[in-house]
Amino acid sequence: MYRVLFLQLAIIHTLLFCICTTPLYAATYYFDPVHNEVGEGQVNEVAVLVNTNGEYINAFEGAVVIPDTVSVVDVKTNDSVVDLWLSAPALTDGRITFSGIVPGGFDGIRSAYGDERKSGILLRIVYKGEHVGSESFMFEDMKAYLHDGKATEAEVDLVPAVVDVVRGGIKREETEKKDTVKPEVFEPYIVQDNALADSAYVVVFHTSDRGSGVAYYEVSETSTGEKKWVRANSPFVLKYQTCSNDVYVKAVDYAGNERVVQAVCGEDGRIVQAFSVLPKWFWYVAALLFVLLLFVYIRRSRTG
Amino acid sequence: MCCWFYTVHAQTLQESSDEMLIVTILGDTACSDGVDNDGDTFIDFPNDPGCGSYTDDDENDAPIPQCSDGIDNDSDGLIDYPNDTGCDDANDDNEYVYSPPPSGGSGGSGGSSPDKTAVRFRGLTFPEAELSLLKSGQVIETDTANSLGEFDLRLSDLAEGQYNFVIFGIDSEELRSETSAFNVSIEEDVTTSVTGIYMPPTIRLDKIQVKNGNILTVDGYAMPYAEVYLYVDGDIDTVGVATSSAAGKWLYELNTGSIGYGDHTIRAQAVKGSFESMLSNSLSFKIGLSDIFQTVTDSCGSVADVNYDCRVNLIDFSIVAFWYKKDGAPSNVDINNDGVVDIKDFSIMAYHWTG
Repeated sequence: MYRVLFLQLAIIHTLLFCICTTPLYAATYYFDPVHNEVGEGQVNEVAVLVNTNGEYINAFEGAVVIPDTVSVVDVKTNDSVVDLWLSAPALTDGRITFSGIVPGGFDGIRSAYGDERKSGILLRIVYKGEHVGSESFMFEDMKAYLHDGKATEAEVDLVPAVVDVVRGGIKREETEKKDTVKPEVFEPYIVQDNALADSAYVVVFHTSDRGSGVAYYEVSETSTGEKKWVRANSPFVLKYQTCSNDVYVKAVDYAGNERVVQAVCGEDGRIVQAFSVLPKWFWYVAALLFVLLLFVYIRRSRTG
Repeated sequence: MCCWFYTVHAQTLQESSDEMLIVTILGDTACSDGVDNDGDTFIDFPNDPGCGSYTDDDENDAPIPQCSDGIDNDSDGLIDYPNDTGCDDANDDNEYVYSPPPSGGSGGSGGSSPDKTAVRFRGLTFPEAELSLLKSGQVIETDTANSLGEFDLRLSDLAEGQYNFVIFGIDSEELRSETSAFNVSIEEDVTTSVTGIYMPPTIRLDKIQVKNGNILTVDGYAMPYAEVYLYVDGDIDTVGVATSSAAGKWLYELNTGSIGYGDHTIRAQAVKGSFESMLSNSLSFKIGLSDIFQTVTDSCGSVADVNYDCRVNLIDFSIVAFWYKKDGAPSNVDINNDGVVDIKDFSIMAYHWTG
């Protein structure tokens, strides 16, 4: 009874925000589908979406609480509206937490097949039915920030989704196309900055892959042309603390397609050595000089 | 004050006064099928002179010239001769003052799939604007608007999927416009055109504080021959209207007598014909007891440019991300100075992003 009532409320809630012409909220987080069913031991998928109701939003964060009747098999972000993740979606203690931004903002997706802006996918959860029962995917600590240069927190609306784990059930058909496209072209930079990795030379990089998503990155430093790859995350501290070696970054997607690009020293081929923060030794030397000058001044004052 | 309206159409091209974004796809008619049906080396509307529109099913027809067809073909808010400055006479078949660049849709490889899977951005901004097109936060294309401010950016070699595109322009005085963002779903073998883009004007103030009743000079660049409306503190009523020159330059001397003491913000919006640009970025000023002029500062001084290289991009993101939720972050990395590096700092960075 409770489940039916909950489902009805969720559906009414979803319909209301879809139909309503004057949005009450700047961002509505919801699941698609709103009612999920999966057989025990079988796999299904649910998408986490955001409808910004016409507002420009540029930062999203929060968590999806996974019901204990299912287990998470995979989390996909290849078709996410988020360009840069601060915390890529990851499962911890029964929750998928995430945090990311969209440079320029996001107000809905335009396509060639409709007048309205569509909601954007944040992530997709592939899950397996573990125990028979009816539970819900819930949101927790969800936040969205307006694209206004002031990080104004937007009002958010949350719509949970029901998941029924049943005996038997219909096996889900795999309909995904085989991904044969490389990750997108990208430009890694070699940088040195006092606020980053203790002033070490690092290579920073990022790309995306619309087909299956970027699985991992590798970096190769070479002065001879022979490439030896090591797994890497951005920013990656270079083994050779110089900008004179050739540094390559490889992005590999989940289908195994690879994109290899060469890093450049900073932007436009110049090393970025902007001292955004003065190093500690600068302050030590400055303090020492000050004390020395003070000492000399006092001595001269006394002798003079 | 109105904002932007978007309307998306498949296979048809329609415009009305409040429709400012139109997406078209390659369709089944002779003038939209990506094929050179009449063998004249030109393919489809608007490249084939035999095509009057995308829905025209005959590339051989002699079309009505653009400059007398009653349509705003180049989406500049001006229709036909003599109103549209791109028209030499009523028989001129091009409202643009320049020929649209050759593209995959008009020949080249004969309309193979890689050329069709593309996105195109067309619109109007200030003349000679240095435009940057970003995809997923990285600059992927740069171009210069023509002397009328018209631009036409095209990206091909895209995989099917949803992309975040951002366009901004820099004027001849190094002022950067507010960004315009487009989240577009790209489909295989479909050229998605985003047209009717009216870029926001650039804006600058001569003072950071104005003595009550004195003049605050506001200037910048906008679409040529446009009216530039100024709004203070988000008010819907304008406080003044300037007119941009042929070069797009506009200037307004705002009498601050009617503006109360304290902190204020000002924004600009260019209006040309029935079309409105997006609002400019918001600038702060104060009404006080004396004038304080702007000092000549580096025009790139965004709060989110944490490594001071005049850009806000992956490098700044990496530096701030290094301190994400860590103690002891340098003051410049904590962009909003609230004592913690969190998603709010990144939201501000995303706003100032230049790629």
